[in-house]
Amino acid sequence: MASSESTTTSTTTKVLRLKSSDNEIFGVEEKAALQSETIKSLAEDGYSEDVIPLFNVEKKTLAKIVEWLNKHASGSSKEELKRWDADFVDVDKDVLYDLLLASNYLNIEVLLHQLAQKVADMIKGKKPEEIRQLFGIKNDFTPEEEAEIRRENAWAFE
Amino acid sequence: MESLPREILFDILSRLPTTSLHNAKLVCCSWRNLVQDPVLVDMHFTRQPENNPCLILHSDYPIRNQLYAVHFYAHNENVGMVRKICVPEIFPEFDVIGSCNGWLCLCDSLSKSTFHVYNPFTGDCIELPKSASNSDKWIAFEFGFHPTTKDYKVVMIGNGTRAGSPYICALPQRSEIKILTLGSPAWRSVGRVPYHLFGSPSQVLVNGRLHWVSWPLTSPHCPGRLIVSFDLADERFREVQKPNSARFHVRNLTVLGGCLSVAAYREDGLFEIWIMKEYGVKESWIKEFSIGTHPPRGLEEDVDCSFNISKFYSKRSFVRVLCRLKNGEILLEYKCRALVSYDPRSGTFRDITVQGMPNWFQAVLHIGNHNLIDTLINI
Repeated sequence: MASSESTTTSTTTKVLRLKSSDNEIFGVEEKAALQSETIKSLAEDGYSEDVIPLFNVEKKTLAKIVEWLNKHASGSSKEELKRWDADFVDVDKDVLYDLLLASNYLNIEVLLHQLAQKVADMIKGKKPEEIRQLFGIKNDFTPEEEAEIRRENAWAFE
Repeated sequence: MESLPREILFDILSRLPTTSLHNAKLVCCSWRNLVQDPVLVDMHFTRQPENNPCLILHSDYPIRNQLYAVHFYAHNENVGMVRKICVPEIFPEFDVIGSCNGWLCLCDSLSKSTFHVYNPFTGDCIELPKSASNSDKWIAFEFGFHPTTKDYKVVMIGNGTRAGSPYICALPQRSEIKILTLGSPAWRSVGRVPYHLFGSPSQVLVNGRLHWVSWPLTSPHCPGRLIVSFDLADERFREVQKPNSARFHVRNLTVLGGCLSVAAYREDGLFEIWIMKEYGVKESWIKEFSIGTHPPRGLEEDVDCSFNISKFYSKRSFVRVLCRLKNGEILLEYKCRALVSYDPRSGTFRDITVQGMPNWFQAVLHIGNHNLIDTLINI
């Protein structure tokens, strides 16, 4: 039988070092960092002793992500997290895009859902023109196409 | 926005209520293609339970055959909006039998033999085989779906009163049942059952079973009503055991959080909502809420007597439990005239008034979807 001592883990928490695409290094406790499936598999692949390179995330976005990871590993109460999350996603749309892309790349399911819900809430109840303005989208329908879709919709809504 | 990967865009758009999704289609070509993508159609449908359901209000007074959709926003205290729905011109007058997976089942209220299923958000509408029957006899209609067999069925309940019976109040001997499975060419008779079933304004579907409040016909003097279920797969009736409560008088059945629930009145005028947490297990009934009385604002105004001619007038009950909203409140319908949400934590009521809502209506819970007709019939 193997000695039980050999399985004893160190009591100091392990810190993973994450490197942004613009070479900034963030130290994150393992427990917090492993909420990202991508970091988890990189760590399992042996990067954990070294720096984990995240080629698709810039430092300003990674800083926000790290803030989220730490908060969600901090054992805060459900109510507090809910309030905190609401503040966290209350940012302008460019930051939202960067966070969406980063959380998609890092595969952080919970954060991705929060961000997608935030964008959906921004779209809800808005007219097509308001949605275009909000996201700076160009209306590329020909007048005929637009009339056609409006007709389809008029079928269901007067 | 366009720079986001498709899966993220799908994730975002699938969270929208059905009407907002229609607006999204009008934003630009690429959004239109996204909204019409079958992947999104599926995702949107699966995600619907995360949104508040929409209510379809059927109003037949002062103008007949009006349908309205009311959307409640999950993250907003105030109700979203009311939209008038275009109604296919198929009947001079119709009843809404029920709503299932985004489909409304409509029945010609005069002949009670012609049926259509209609998706109010896509406009798809198909006529079902006619039932050859005498219109007076059929008193209740239900529409349901069984998750295992994937069949949609319309169930018709006839009251077997003998013609010319001198006893007007006499309960019918038994109820006669006819069924149409969508996709099959004709209605089938499945015989008679020894219950007198009361039709409800919309179906109560849990675990692939429809539910009714009923009197047992074998012992008409038996105190209290029964809850009877009908399994859409094996087509058998079963009694559902009620909670053990001495003064329990079942008023209306509903579905809260996927569980069979009953609203029961107490002698002091309050009513209680009981929920069967585990289907079929009598011990799992728990009293979830006791709701006080509330006179909604709309009801204080004088009643327009001419509404008496509306077919809803005779069917109206004082209060009907519709559903639980995402914010935890219970949505109630009062006398076909007012919508009220009740907050069980604070015991407070909130009158829901939205511009454009009809004065008289019957509310049907509806989960909108973009299903195409071919997903409806399991051939």
